Amino acid sequence: MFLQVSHLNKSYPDTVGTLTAVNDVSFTLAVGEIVGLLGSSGSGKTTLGRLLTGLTASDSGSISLDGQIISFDSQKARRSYYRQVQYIFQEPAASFHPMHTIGKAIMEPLLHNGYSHAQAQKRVNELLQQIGLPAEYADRYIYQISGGEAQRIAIARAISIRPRLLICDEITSSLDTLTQQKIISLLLSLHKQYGTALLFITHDIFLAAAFCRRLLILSKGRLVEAGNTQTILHAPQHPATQQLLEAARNLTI
Amino acid sequence: MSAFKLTLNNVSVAYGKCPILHDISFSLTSGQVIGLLGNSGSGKTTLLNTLAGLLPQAAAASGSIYWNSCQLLHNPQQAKLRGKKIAMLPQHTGSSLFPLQTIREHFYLTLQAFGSHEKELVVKKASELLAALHFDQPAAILDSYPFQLSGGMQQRVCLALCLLLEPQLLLADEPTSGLDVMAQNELLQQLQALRKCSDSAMLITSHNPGFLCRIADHIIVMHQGRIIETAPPDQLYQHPKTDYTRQLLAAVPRSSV
Repeated sequence: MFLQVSHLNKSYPDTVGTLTAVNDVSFTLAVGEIVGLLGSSGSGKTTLGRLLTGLTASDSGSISLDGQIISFDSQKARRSYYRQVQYIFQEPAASFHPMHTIGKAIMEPLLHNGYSHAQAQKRVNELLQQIGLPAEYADRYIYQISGGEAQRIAIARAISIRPRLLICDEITSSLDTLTQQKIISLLLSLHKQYGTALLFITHDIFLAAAFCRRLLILSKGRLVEAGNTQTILHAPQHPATQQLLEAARNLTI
Repeated sequence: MSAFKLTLNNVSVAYGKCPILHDISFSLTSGQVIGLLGNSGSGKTTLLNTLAGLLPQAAAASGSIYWNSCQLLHNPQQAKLRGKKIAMLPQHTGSSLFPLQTIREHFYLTLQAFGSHEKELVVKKASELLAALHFDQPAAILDSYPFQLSGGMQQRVCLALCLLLEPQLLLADEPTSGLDVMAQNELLQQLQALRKCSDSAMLITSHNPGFLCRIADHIIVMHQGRIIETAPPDQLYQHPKTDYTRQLLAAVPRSSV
């Protein structure tokens, strides 16, 4: 195991008191593992994803990588963690600076990680080729490309420094099914080539089941079921899992 | 409710030199539900905007659209049908609600636009519609502002606004996008219930074939602005005629169980 999440908690104030978005969540990820994190809207998926990257500070609990507890307060510790763990957002276009070119966006993490300008530029070309976009895209701005292309570029930016884990938060939810298929194939080819682990956050259990070997089910902030994908599909234990399956079955051909 | 027939003959739409729709022809009558299946960029939204009379000025449309015997295209009368006879559920329901007005005021405005000022009647009707769309406390919803509602709730409020004037045709643009599977399933059940209790026709766009096959009598597949295939759902899914349709069907994740 390389990532260990122990007893994470996060609450927010809301109109009636406090909302516990993540409630005592613990799980582990093995090196190179592909895991699906499932739940309906409001189950706490995005909050958990943000806690795992320190974008939101937890109230209590810990995250450790290779046995070392990560302190998100220290910039040095954060930087070294981000070299290994990268996050991809649901809305691709909103995760880019609108006035920076795509080339500049992909280059940024490289320049922070010791690449010279020339080396970084060379790597940008390699990455664009890898995600199947022409080299000219480096000079475009985010508003000049489609949602699916923007999401591929977000992946290129995240993998530029070859992280060991990619956290993907509903990254195909705003895309059509054909584009979704392309994005999943790209992720799987990266996994195959570099052994990148994936934590794939989604509400679509069949999508996750198509390529994740293990599933984690969140409901009302709690991890209510976890296990082998086939076992969960055949014999879902928790009502939340059963509801996710029933809804998905009703919406498939 | 009186029956109607909508007929499209060779409808084409272009933005400048960029063609969006090519020669679209089909017809739709009361009680019928047609699903428009296609990818992003296939022209689905432009087609609905054309029918609702919401094309931007820069768009050039040709061909004809008949609502019974009345030709709608380039006809100023088209705006009078919108809202009353033809209702449109837009794709981004959140941004189609006015942020500084309560849901109650949205219902008032919708009715005022058609000359009625009977506020009590509107509230009664709105409450009934919201209850039918499974809101436990319609009164609390009427007092809410859009930002206080989740995406799924905003969608249901917009659907209730569409149904207020009992339209004969409901245009729904990607009604499932942005909703999780649970909310998608709920919307599906509501549209199915609506079919049972009214004679309204529906034209629904989606890139999810599974959703469309549960609600539509006929599926029209669109690709690059053209209709490439039309069939009842069972026939389309079992015997797709084009490679594009086969690809669309294959891209849907399915249960292996």
